[in-house]
Amino acid sequence: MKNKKIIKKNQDQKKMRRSLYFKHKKRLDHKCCRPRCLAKNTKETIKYSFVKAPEIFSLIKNENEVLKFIGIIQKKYENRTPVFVNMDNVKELGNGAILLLLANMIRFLTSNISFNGSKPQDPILRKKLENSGFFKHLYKHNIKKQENYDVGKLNNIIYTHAQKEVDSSLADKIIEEASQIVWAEKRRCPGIQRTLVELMHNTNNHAGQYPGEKHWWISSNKNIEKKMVTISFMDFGKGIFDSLNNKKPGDRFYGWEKYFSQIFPWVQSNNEILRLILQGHLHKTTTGDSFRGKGLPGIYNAFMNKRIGKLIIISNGVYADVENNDFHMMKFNLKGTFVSCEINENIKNLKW
Amino acid sequence: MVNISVLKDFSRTPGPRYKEEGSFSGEEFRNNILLPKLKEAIIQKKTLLVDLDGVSGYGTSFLEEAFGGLIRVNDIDYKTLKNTLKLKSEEDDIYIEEIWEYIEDAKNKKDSNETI
Repeated sequence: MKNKKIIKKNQDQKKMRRSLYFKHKKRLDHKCCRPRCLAKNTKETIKYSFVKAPEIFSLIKNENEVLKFIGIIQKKYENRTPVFVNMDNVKELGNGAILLLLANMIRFLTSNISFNGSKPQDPILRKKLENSGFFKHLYKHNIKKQENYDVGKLNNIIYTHAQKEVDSSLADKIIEEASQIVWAEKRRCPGIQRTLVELMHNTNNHAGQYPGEKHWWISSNKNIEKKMVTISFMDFGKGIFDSLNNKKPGDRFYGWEKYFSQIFPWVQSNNEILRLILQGHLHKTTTGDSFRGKGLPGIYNAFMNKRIGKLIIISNGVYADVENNDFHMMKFNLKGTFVSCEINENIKNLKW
Repeated sequence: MVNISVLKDFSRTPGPRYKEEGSFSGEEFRNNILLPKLKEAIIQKKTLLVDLDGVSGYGTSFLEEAFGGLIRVNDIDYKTLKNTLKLKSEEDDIYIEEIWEYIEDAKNKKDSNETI
C-alpha cells in the first residue's frame, strides 16, 4: 500500500515536471528569442548553408539585392546544398519576393534538397508570409514533382499557383476573385485575361528547351484597403534575351540581332532593345507581320490602353517599369522572366 | 445568316493556340466550330456572323490560329472569307481590327510563298 502511494507520488511529480517543461518551451518559441527552425528535421541533422534575405525583400524596390539573393539560392540549388533562409531582419516583403521564395522552396523540396528558414520578426510581415501558405508547405518534406502546384486557396489574401499548360480558366478565376476586392462585385477584365494567357503561352513555348518544359508561377495578392490586386508572374526559363539569342534556324526570330541592328544601329543595350520589343519593332523587323497584340507587345498595348495597371517586367539583366518609363540594366541577372501588373478601379472592366 | 457565339458554342475562356498547349485552343475552335459553320455559310451563300462578346478575354494566339489558320491551314480563299465572315464585338472594339490583320498577314504570307 505504502509502495503504491510512492509510485503514484512519483508519477504525479513526473507529470508536473513534463508539463512545466513544455510550458517553458512554448514560451521560448513564442518570444522568438532565437531564430526558429521552421521545418523540423528530426531524423537527421542537416548541414544548412545560411543565406540572409535582404532587409528590403522586394524585387521591385530593391531588385539588385533580391536578385543577388536569388542568384545565391539558385547556385545552392544547382549544387544540391540545403538552404536556411534567415528572414529575421526583413523590414519589407514584396509580392514578387514571396513568389520567388515559394517557387524556390517548391523547387528545392521536389528535388529532395532541404529548405528551411526563420520567420521575420516584424509581426505584420510574419503574418503576410503566413498568409502566403509558405509555412504550410515548408513542413511538408516529401513534395512530389507535379504538373501543377497550389499554395493557398483562390479566395485567400495571397494565392499562388504553378503549372505548365496555358490555363485560361484559372486566369478567369483569379480575375473573378480579384474583381470582388476592386469593384465589390464580379467583373471581367479582358486586358488582364489577355496578359495572363500571353505570359503562360510565352513560358510554355519559349522558356524551356522544348515546349511545356518549364513551370510558370502566378500569385495574386489582394489589398482590400486600396481596392487593388497585384498579379505577379514568373518563370525560371531562359528569359527574354537568352530565349531570343538561342533561336534555331527556321524560327521566325532566328538572327533577330542582325535585322535589328541594321534598322536600329544606335541601340546598344538590352534595356533599349526591350523598349523596342514592347513597342512591336521586333515583330515588324524580323517577321514582317503586324505586331498588334502579339506576345510582349500585346501586354504593352494592354497597359497603354488602360486594360492593365502598373506593368513591370524583369528579365535577364533588364528592369522595365513601363508606367514610369524606367528601362535600365541591373547589376545582377535574373535567369527567367518576372512580370507584375495591377488590377485597379481604373482599368477596363466588363460586367460578369 | 449562320451564327456562332464563342461564349455559347465554345467556351467562356478561350485559351492558347494549339490543343496540346491547354484547353479551349484556337485550333480546337477553328476545327470544331468555325470551319464547319464557315463551309455551311459558303455553300448556302449566307453570311457567317461570329459573336465575340461575353467571354473573359482573348489571347492573341487564339485569335491568330482560329482566324488566320482558315487561310494558312485550311486554304480558305481570302475573297470568299472576306465576303462571308462578319465579326461582332460590341464589348471590345480591338478584336475585329486585330482579327482582320491576322487574316491579312496569313494571306500575305501565303501569297509570298506561292510567288517563291
